[in-house]
Amino acid sequence: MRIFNLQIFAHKKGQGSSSNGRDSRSKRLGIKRYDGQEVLAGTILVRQRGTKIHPGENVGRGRDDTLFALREGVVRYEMKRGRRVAAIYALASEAV
Amino acid sequence: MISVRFLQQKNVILGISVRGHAQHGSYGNDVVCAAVSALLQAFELGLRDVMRFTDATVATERNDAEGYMRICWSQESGIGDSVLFQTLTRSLESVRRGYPKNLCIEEVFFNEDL
Repeated sequence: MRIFNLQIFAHKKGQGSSSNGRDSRSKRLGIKRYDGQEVLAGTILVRQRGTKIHPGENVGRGRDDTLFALREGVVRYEMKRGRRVAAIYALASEAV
Repeated sequence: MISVRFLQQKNVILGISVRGHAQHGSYGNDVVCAAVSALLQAFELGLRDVMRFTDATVATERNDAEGYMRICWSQESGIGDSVLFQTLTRSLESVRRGYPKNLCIEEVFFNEDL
């Protein structure tokens, strides 16, 4: 007895597409100047999403939460009240 | 759309070729595909198992993955005038009338069917 294939002229299902396979450009986030580095005013210290690191002394925060130096000096990362904070301190040569 | 072609030579039908996809429903739920598939296979079954034609008279080409089936026969067989073939052509025409967007029927010269 023959067995009929009733789907000879049916459109076969395509392979389901994976939900992966998308990607975005990297945002080049992270620390740009490390503890102990000397920086000029305006130097970007950290690019971040949110405030993983908070601005401390002499450090400003941009609208995208980027931290930058407000004055020339040495970068310091420290913990203050449980928060990681970036600060700029005057160079030793400047300190009186 | 499924394309049914009756292959003729000197006004005598010597074969039928069917290709394409009905696209009336999803795989497993396409009633037009099921109807055409069943009619063609019933036709071949009739030729080989009932009328007892052999490969010397009837040639079948079939590719289920591509959605293609072709049945040809020799002029001497008289299949083109048989009740079986007439039933097939009328059945296919009835399906076409019910589902004109999913099935087309044409008659072409034997050599034109590539």
